[in-house]
Amino acid sequence: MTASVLAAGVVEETVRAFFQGLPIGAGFALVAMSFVLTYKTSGVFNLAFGAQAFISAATYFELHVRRDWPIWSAVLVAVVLVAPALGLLLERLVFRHVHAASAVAKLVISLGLMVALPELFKLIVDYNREQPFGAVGIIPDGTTVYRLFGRYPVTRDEIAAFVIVVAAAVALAALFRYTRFGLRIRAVVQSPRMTELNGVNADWVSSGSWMLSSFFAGLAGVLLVPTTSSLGTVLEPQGYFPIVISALAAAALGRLVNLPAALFGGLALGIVTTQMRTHVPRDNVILAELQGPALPYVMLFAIIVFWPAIRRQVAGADPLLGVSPPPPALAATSRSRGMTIYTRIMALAFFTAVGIWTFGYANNFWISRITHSVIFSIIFLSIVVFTGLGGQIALCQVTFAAIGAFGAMQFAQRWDISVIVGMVAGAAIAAAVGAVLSIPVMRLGGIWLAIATLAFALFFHDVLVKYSWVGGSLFHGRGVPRPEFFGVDFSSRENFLILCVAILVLVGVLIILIRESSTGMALRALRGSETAAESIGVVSWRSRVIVFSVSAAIAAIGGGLLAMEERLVGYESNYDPQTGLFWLVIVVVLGARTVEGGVQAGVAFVIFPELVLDRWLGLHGAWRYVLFGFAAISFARHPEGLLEHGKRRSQALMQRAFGRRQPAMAAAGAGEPADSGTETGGEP
Amino acid sequence: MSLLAADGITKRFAGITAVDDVHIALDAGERVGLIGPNGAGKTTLFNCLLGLLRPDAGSVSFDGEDITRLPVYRRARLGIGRTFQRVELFSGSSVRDHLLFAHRIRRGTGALWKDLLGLGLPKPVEIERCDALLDSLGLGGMGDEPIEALSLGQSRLVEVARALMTQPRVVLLDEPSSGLDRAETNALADTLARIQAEQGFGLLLVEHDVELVASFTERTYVLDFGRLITHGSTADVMQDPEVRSAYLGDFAAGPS
Amino acid sequence: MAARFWKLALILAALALVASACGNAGNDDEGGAPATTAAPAAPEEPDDEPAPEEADDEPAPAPEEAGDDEPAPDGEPEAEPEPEEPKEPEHRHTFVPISGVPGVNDSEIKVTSIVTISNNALGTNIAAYNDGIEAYFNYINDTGGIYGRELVLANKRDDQLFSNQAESLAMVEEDDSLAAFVATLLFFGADTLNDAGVPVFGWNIHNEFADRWNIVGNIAPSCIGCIHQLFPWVATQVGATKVGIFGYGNSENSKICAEGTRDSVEHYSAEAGGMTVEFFDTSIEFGLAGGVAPQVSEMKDKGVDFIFTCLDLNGMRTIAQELVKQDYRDQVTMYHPNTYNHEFVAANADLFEGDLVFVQFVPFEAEIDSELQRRFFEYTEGLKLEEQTIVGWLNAHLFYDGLLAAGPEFDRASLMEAVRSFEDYSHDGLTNPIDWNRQIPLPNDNIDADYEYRCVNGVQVQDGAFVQWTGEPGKPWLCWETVRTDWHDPEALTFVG
Repeated sequence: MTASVLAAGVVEETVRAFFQGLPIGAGFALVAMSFVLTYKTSGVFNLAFGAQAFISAATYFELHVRRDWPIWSAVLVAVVLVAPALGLLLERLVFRHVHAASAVAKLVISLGLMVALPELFKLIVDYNREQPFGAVGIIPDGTTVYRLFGRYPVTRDEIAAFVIVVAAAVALAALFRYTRFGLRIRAVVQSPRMTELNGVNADWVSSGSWMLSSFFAGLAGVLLVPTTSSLGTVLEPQGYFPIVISALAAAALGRLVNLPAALFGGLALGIVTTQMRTHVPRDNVILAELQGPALPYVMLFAIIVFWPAIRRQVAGADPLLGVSPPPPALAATSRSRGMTIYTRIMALAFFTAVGIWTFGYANNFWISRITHSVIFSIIFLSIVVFTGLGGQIALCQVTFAAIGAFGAMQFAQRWDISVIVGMVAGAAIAAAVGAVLSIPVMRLGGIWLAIATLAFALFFHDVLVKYSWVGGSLFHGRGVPRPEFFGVDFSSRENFLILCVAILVLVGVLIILIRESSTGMALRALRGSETAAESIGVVSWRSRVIVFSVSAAIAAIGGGLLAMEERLVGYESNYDPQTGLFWLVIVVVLGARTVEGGVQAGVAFVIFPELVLDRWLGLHGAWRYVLFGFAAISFARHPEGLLEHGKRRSQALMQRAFGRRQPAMAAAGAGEPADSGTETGGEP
Repeated sequence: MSLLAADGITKRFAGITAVDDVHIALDAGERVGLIGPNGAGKTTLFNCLLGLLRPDAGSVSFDGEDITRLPVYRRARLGIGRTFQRVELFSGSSVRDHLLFAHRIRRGTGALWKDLLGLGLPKPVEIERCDALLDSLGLGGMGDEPIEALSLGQSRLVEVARALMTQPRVVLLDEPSSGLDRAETNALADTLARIQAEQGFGLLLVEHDVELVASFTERTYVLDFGRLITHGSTADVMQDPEVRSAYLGDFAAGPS
Repeated sequence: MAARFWKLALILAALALVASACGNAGNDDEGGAPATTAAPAAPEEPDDEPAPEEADDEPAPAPEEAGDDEPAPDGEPEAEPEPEEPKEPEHRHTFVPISGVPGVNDSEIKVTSIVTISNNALGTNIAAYNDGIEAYFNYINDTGGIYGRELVLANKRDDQLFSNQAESLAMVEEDDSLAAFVATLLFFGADTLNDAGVPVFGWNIHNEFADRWNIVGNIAPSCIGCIHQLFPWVATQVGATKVGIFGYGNSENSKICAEGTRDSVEHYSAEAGGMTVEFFDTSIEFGLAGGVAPQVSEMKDKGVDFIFTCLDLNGMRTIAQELVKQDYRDQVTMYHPNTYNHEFVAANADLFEGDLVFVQFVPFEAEIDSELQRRFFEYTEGLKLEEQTIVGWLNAHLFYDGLLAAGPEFDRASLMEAVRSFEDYSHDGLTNPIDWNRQIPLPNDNIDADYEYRCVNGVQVQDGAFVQWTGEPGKPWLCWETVRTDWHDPEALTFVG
């Protein structure tokens, strides 16, 4: 009797949670399908989705809410005109030129756009002049509540979103299956060259598909506003982020290419979410985490790691998937001896001048900035190891840096152990965490590895940091002392800077040693061709573990130093996972292949906004995101980095000027005169 | 007992039996061919030997040891070298690097701590050994060239050289003639024969180009529809009517 | 998405915390522990405090006003307006040449502000803080300035959220401002400023406002997660008996805040008419991409009639939307720790009708007999008023009073000495009086560092606008004496004088 009543209650709760999960799932599905659509039509894993969606939603908000345009005209402009126009623009100006680039290169570009587009929009429209409160949907009276079966409430907005999602899934599936346009899109994605031979105008198809996917992103952007809590409150681009994470999981269920899988995956994840929150108790810490903050990341990570379709895809056909674009010819010897000496003299002169100025004339502010750039150079060297040497993209270097910073803090605060020891211990912990992380993602490559590491970074950020054994206690602060050892006191800014420079040199030399030695050979072999590398006995998992650990340890050392420099762990300032995306973009743009490139990125990251943007040009700091974000576009054509590319060009010019012979192979390959990737470790 | 042997290898894909109960064997110093028309299962069998695919039935043994379940790199370290039909080189590396990598990895001297102490840098003697091999393959003086600068024929030689630097006991060549003209193919065959005579490894040649197989190998296996239709001395096999009908008609029609 | 959603989310929770758990009252009931959990708080209890947890089922625990460790309530600020500072001290217009004091020349006293203007995705307009400072400076300058000089907000720095320490260091190195005014979402530059001896006046939403001599806020350091009569009392006022509590699972701050609320309700359960905590969830995630529908259903099933949260605007709005959707909004009142934003409430009028919003100053809706409040409205006319406007105004007022008390030959150190000498400072009645000399550390374990009165000021949402809810006309504050932890009704007070 009681048991049956109880059972009836559980059934009722389950049914209720099902209907509560559907609208949430519809939101996930909408975004997931947008990912799939873009990937299918362009081969781009478009992390800039949120940026595109935001631009349409913000345009609609600007027109309808702020300027009182009627709904239909605001939708017409924001979704029907602006969104496809943006897609066309992106295709013509950006993606057309990187068609042949690897999936990873396109991922980096979309990261850049994700950083740059919303900032540019806000700067142009002066969007932040007042609070973006009060965004509304495009459905009139969208908050009207209906009751399914007389009891399960659902709003008109939610019904509309659901209907549009399902209709869009059907329409898109039909488009791909039955129409010539759909067929051509698929053909163009496979091989534009081949398609052209068959008399199809690949340009036009490519533009059309970008307009279509951008239209869809814009539509999703406005539809999500009323049904997504973070957007309805304050209309800001990052409001799309929470939903994007879950949507990525749904899109992953369909390997990014299967529209129905994305639809049903999204709905299923929404229902799983509400079912868990209905039935799983919250009084246990782990269960509470699992249904709360940890849920989206655990879902995303688990799906990427365990979903058989993705494992098959990784193991399967596309051998280029996991490999970053082939580097241009690397030939240490093609740089003339005179050129090398000249470069080194210039570098020496530059660093001497900076050194004299720093220690003789600079005030504390500039010493601190320079110390920051040295430290960020160290942190960025971890990206050089992972991306430049390992040929992969990881988005969790911020996490490793934070582990180093917290390590230094915890050892100093809890046990009063030298902060240097704490930093080294933090590096060891980070290396261990990196090694453990590398195991489940072992077989992943390319974009999946990037997304899995992003999920890990967000998990750390949203779940782990708040525990006192990780991020310290609210009541004790996050203070970190500067070190003293061998009788030398490094507490003054100048002495500490010297210590940082010494560590940078040490790390740089070690990286060069690794690169030139057996470990580096194995990595270069793997990056060149994983199949061939294994055929000569390279143990790829071992190399993976080493790359993860070494790069994690380097990032952690940088993080520990940063904490000492700032005398506290400025976690929210420095180690946000989205900051980490910008780190990757700036390093890759300037040169991820060399130690020199990492150092230049460190300097640019810290000094450029302060000196060039602020003091010289008087521009707003947000321009840095715009500039470096758009510069990421260059990655596909110059994977060696802009600065390296520039050096090669100028070297070519000089060689021509001096009448030197071009290296035998300049004509082949990328058409760029080859230059040293190996020899340019020459920092101070 | 043979050095490399496959016993009863069967491999199915989605219900289609690509390789069906195939036995082949290879000894040190031998030159053996594996031929068959497109889709005959050559590549599948080849991948089973190398460890890229795991057979559904049957076993692979090397030097008397069952290696059916060993991953690719373990087999490579035991002494199974290979080349690729579609050239697989390490982009971004020089010619000499390819040899150096192979040499290093074969010796298994990759401890990270040694590298960090500067003990892992290439030693002059290693570079000399690489250059010596390049010389003997006719690639002398090209050690510093970036790999992208090489012609296809040279690239294949680099692949061979890379395989040889691992001091293999057998080398599996996957369609070495593809993309090469007759003269280049012959040059490659000559070089291979010479090096093999010096080093005494076994050679398994998976080939489309029957002419090369006929002139180069001592024994030949013929696959068709996943099954071994015949094997024996190359001369005999080439006369086999079944082979001729199943396969050589194709050859008569014209080479690649 | 360039902006930093997760970072902001953390900050949001910090805000939620300060505003609700402490700000509203800056009080401390039990000297004890930030009670991270309900039951085992006991062992952490300092021994100077009779264990209060036994009070749970006791109707009225002996009023622990063994106030022997509390400075006797000296200056009772009640009712009697008794001006302590003369309105126009003699020396206000005395000019003395000063050299070697940063930012001070013969005609100007310059200050710098550091404000999170860009990358603030809260939607709130923190830049209004600068308006408040400038409005106050205009007021002073219109009435002749001070010491023959004008007050000038000479440099407005934008810390862009993440470069607070760099901006602080730049301000110190520039060495051309007497003081810093800080309203930022992160305050990692606190020690940089404090160690350099820069007087800092700021928007106190950070722990960094505690334990630093040179840093003072619009409120004093306040207890985090402490037990407080306020929570159950507010619920009784709307006749509620079953409460639900929400906190973010992403943030330690938000959890501690939610747990403090829960402990408070449970502590006074019997006295508050048998009030019970029916629903407690500190597992919800920032952004709430998964919604809160199951949680709201559960509350509805359990008959919850009052909801406390330690959430930001987004969390409040999401819960309210779900309440409306489940046809349950009319049966619940929500307690808002952080929603004093007129534009936001106007944009969501239907969602928040009847809800209670709490602040740490006399709201714009409550008129009191305060010269400072009248001047505030006079000098901010035409500006869009935000919470940060009045925070800037209050900070500037404390700065001015400090200068006045430091005398015409002031410097940074004497300015802070003067500020720290104010023992009963209520910003002319606009805030709960602070003893700046005493209230330096966090008062969690130290009742001596706490406010004398635990006071709240609240408004109710009606038709998308705020209406004063606490107190009575002219006496907007509702206060409990800090040393009395027994259950009793608060007193309506004003601190003008």
